[in-house]
Amino acid sequence: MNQFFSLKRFILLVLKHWADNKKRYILSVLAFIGLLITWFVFVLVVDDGRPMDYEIQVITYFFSLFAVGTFYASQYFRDLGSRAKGINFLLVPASLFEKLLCSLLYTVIFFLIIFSTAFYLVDFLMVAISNTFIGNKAAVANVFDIVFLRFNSDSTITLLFIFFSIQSAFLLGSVYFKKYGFIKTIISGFVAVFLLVCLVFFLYDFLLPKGEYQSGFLTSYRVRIDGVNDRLVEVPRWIGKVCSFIVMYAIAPFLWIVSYYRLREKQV
Amino acid sequence: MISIDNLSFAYRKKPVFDGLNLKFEPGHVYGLLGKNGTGKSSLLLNIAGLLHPRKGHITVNGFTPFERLPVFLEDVFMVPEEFYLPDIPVPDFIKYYAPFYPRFNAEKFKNYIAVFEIPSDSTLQNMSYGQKKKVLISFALATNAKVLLMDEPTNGLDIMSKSQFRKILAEALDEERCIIISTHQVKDLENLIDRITIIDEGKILFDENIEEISKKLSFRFAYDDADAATSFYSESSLTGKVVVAPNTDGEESKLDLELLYKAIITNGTKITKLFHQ
Repeated sequence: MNQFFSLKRFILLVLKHWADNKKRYILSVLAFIGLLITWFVFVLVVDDGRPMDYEIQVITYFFSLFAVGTFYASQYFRDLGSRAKGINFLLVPASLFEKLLCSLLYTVIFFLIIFSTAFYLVDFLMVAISNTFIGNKAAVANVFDIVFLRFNSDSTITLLFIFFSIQSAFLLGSVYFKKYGFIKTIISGFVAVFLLVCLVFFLYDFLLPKGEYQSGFLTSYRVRIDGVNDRLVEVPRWIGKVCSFIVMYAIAPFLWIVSYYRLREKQV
Repeated sequence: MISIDNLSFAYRKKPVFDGLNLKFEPGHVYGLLGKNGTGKSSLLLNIAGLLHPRKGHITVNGFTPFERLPVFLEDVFMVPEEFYLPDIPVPDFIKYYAPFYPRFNAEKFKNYIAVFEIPSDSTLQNMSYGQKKKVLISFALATNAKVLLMDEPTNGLDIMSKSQFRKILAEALDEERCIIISTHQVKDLENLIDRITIIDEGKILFDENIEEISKKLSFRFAYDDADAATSFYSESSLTGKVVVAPNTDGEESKLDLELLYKAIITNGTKITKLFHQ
């Protein structure tokens, strides 16, 4: 049998993960539904204008998606922080690739499906309640409808890919940190972003002549001379495209690969 | 089956082994003895591929353990001192865990837990530590893994369970299987192990089979004070002084593991010399 990937072993692993965690998962989904209902009831009570309008549904969806999704990812490999659970996890006769793939199946695919289903169940119910008791005619929002997403000029798909990138960082954090993975990943994330900002804005500012970035993904720079003879320095457009492609699509797979190698080195 | 060559291992700056060489063959039950913190568990974890050696090489069934290939993991089962079992009913545990082990024998598992007097339909969540350990030991034996590593397996077992453990372990041994038991409760392993390896300060202090030990050492009461003084080890008991002395008359005495262990810890050099004469 293939030692890197076997569908049979992978299915066994997925079933085993479900058997080990089903109680926790079912309770977590119920708790999420409860919290969501509480939040929407709160909105209905405090907002007597348009309590269930589009924005509140979309913001609730994405805020809870980011909060719950990252927290769940940060918990997935937390067993590795405990010697007993770590031994149990590492000695299961499946390849590390299968174990990582199983984590992605649960934290990315199953999570998104279950999360969206739970959200819409509550959303349908709360919109119906709002329309019945408050009289204002709200509609169930299509959160994936890119046209109506007003707080971001890009599409929802873009936002989902940003979510996958951030979530993959939390998944890596759960492999990397023995304890407090969620908190440590947040702190590490802030440090990384801070260093990046320092690098891009302060260091470049120090190295480059006086001026400022123009529109685009840090690909055009206006060298200020006297306002009339200013020079615009532009790197080729494809570099900007490559950079935005990397930010959008490559971060998550890259961090999954890092997680795989980190998992390979893992000791108890 | 298991070959350890020049193994060096350390926890950060604390060295555990330096240049350790050992071999474990199938068809034997090995007793790994030693004081707390001498590296018994670390050795088992290295063999299972859960720790990475700094230097040297370990081969288990032809595989390098730390690569943790599925084919390697199918044939190595570890019962750690601190273990985890999911909170699911025993039948579910078998349903979801057993298929990973191609030679798992469900009938044997049922027999083992019956010997341990565990109801086969109970839930792991409601079990005591000792009961869970018995389920894990039963599962480990039923996998038919060629290498079975057990770290303090009798910890948490009551007196009856310890003798049940010895019984089913003796039954489970076959020509293809190698069982390594690390413990400091040496009495629990009497009549079970056929080779003793004593580790101290990360080094092999003693590594001999039971047959050889019985031939060369005598475990008996001292004839007089002079006899006790010239023995490798002596200690007072209610009925007189018991000693570990060279077996000069060729008559085999009943091996007392605890006495042997104490004798080697206190007078290891002389005893080792006797074995290498």
